[in-house]
Amino acid sequence: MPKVKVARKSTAIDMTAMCDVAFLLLTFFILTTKFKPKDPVAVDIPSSHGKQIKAKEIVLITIATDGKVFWDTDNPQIRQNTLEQMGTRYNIQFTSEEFTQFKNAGAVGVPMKDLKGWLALDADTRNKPGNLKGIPKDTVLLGNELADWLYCSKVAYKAILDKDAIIAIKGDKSTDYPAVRTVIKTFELRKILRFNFVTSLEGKDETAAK
Amino acid sequence: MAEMSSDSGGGKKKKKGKFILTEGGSRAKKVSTRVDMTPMVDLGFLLITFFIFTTTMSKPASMEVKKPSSEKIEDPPKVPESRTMTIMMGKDNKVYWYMGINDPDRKKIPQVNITDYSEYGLRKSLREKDEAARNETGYKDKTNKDYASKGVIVIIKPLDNSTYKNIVDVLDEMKVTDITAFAWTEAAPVDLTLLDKSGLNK
Repeated sequence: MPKVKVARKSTAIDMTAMCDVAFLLLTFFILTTKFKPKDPVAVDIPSSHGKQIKAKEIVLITIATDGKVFWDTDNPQIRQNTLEQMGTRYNIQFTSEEFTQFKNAGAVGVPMKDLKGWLALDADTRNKPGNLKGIPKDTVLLGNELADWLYCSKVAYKAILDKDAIIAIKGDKSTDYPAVRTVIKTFELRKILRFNFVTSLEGKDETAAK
Repeated sequence: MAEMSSDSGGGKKKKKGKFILTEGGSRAKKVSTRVDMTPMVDLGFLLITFFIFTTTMSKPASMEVKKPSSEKIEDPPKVPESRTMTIMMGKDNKVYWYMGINDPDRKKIPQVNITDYSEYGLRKSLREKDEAARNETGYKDKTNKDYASKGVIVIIKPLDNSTYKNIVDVLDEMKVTDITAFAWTEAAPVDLTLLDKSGLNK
């Protein structure tokens, strides 16, 4: 009787299929990731220990070292809705081209009368120092464009996400207090008494060492 | 593992060379066109992991702030003087604090202390004062519903020459020391004259 030959099976698995999957996923991730528009100004944020909240959709008010204020949010629908409202308030008609530009523009820091001109610029020249004047702000409502931006984005946030807006302040470490005070006064005028400070997390071991 | 695969690769090459050199060979042995895909898969997944991590990690963290309404309250709650601590943030990262109430009509002027934002500066003072206040009221049980209001009561007053970082630091100290009875308001002219009299914040 002949011996039964046990066929030697290779333990190597064909990796091609797995490789395909890996690169397919990779391509998907690369293509779906939207690059964040560049921040108009470099802001060095302070650190804190306390409880840190990670919010998905926030309306971000940036205060630069020189006190200039910028408005920003990631959600394109909120951006569009806010601009619609702002246009109605200031009697400015925006074209659909300008709406598309605005959705991808990142942080906005120009007075309303300059917004059209600013949107017409290309992405690189927009963030040149001369083109960033900051949103006009004040401690009263008259002529306080920041208050209108806040109000409109609050309404837009409610309309689109059906939640109360999460508004955060991102300030530079060395921003003077009077600039911060003006912004917070504006928050109070718009009845925003709960807001967030964007901070980086300090070492946890420090908190433990009481 | 790396060595193994390089070994086998080398072996294949030699064979290949041999057969090409064979002159007049009637049949060239078929060389497998299969490539080992394992390192490529590794690379693929490494890149995926990298992308996933870098995209989700870029969300900023933040601390929540609640500010009292600036509207005047008709009947403000009585605050015991001995438990009230006023903190003022001045320039060059200095902190001034005093206990009690600063009323120029009274003879007793509060003693203003200077400290900094370090662990042994403001945090130590806050802990000491909170403990003293709790000794006074006798509320030391954290489960008591009045616990929060029976410790030290802190009033935070940033001065014009302080920075944004100073505010974040002080609010953070409140979290660290677990003091929940604090309020952030504006410095009154009497506070500025008090600092002037003490020769501070210049």
